[in-house]
Amino acid sequence: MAEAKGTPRWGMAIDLDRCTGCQACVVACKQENNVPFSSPEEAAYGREMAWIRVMAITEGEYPKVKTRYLPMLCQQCDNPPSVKVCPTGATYKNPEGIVGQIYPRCIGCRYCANACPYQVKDFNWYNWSGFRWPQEMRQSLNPDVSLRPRGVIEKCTFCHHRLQKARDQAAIEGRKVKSEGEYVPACVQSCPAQAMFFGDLNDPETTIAKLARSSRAFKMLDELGTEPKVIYLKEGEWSATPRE
Amino acid sequence: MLRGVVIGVVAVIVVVGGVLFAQRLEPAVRQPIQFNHAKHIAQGLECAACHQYVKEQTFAGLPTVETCMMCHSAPQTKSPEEEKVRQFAEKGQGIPWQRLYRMPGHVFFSHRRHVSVAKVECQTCHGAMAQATTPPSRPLVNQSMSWCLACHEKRQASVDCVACHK
Repeated sequence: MAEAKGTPRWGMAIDLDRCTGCQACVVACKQENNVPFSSPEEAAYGREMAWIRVMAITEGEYPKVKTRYLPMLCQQCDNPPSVKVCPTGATYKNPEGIVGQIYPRCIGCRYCANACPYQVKDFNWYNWSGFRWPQEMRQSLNPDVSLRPRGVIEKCTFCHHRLQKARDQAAIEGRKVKSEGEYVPACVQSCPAQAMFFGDLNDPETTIAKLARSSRAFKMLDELGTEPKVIYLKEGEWSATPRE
Repeated sequence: MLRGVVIGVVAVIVVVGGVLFAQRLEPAVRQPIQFNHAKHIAQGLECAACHQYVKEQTFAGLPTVETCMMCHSAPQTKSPEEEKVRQFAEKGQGIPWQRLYRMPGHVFFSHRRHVSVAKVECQTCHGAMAQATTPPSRPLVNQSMSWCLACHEKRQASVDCVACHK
C-alpha cells in the first residue's frame, strides 16, 4: 500500500459478521496499554476498566436465542462530544483525527465520560501508578504507554505509540507512514477472525476506505452527529470483506 | 495563648520551609565510578560508542561492563577509578550506573527520533557533558516542558500534545 498523501485520517472497520466475541482484542488492548484489572467487588461498583469491550446482545427467547457480539471502543469521533465539555483541554482532537487524552492535564471531573454516548471513557478510581500493580506483573508493563494516576479519565488512543514508532521508522527511511498495514493497533493485530481493519480513511485505495463505502457500513449512533471513525459492517451477508 | 501562637508560627515555618527546601534539592546522583567524559571524548570516542542505543531506540542506554572491558581489560592508566571497572567485571556484575535524567512517566521521548531523524546534537539537551571531567550529580540542563516546546517551535517540530505525552 502506498504512502499517505496528505494528513492521514486513521480509522477502523469492524465486521460484525466475522466477530466471534472471543475477547482477544480486549486482552491484547489491556496488555498493550497497561489497562488495570479489577476485583469482582470493584467491578460491581462499575469501576472495571477496559479501552475496548465486547458487548454481548442476546435476542429472542428460548429455544430461539441469538447472541450478537459488538466490540465497543473509542469511536475517535470527528465531532467528539467529550472534547466540547472538557474544561481543561485535556481531551482534544489532534490533526490526524485521533482523540487524545493528556493525563497530567486531566482534573478528573468526568464531564467527558458522561458526555460520551459510547461510554468508552473510564475513570481511574485507584492509584495504579503507585504500588498497586503486582510486582510480578511489572515486567510486562508497556514502557511506551504511561501508567495513569488515580483521578484521571483514560481511553483508547488507537495505540498512538505504535503510530509514533512507525513514524520514526518511516522518517529514517525518508518517507511517510504507509496508509495501511504499517501502523495497526493491538486489537486489530490480535483479532483471530480478521474482523477488524485499520488504515487511512483519506486514501480511497485502502481496504478500510472501501469498506466504509460498502452498503453494509454503518456508524454507531450516527444520528447524534458525532461522526465516528470506527465503522461497523452489519451482519447478514457472508464474506463481504476480503479474506487473506 | 501566646505560647500556642509561637508554636503554631514555628510549625508553619518548618513545614513551608521544609517543602520549599525539598523541592529545590532533588537527591544528588552519585555514580559508582568517577567517569571522565572529557578524557574519553579526547580519545576520539563518540557518545554513541558507549550509549549504544541512542540512534536506534527510544533510550540511549548506559554502557555495560563488557563495553568498558573492550578497552580496559588491561590497565590504561594508574587511576583507581579505572580499577573499579575490572572489579565489577570480575564479580560478574553490571556497573550500577545511576540515571541522571528522568522523564516523567507521562512523557514519550525517543532518542531515535531526535538523534537519527532530527539530527539534534547531544549537547543541545545534555549540555557540556563532553567537557565534564567528573560525573555531574545533577542534570546540566533543566529540561522542562516549555524548554522542549521552545525548541519544537523553533524547528517547526510537532507541538501536538500526543506527540510527546503518552
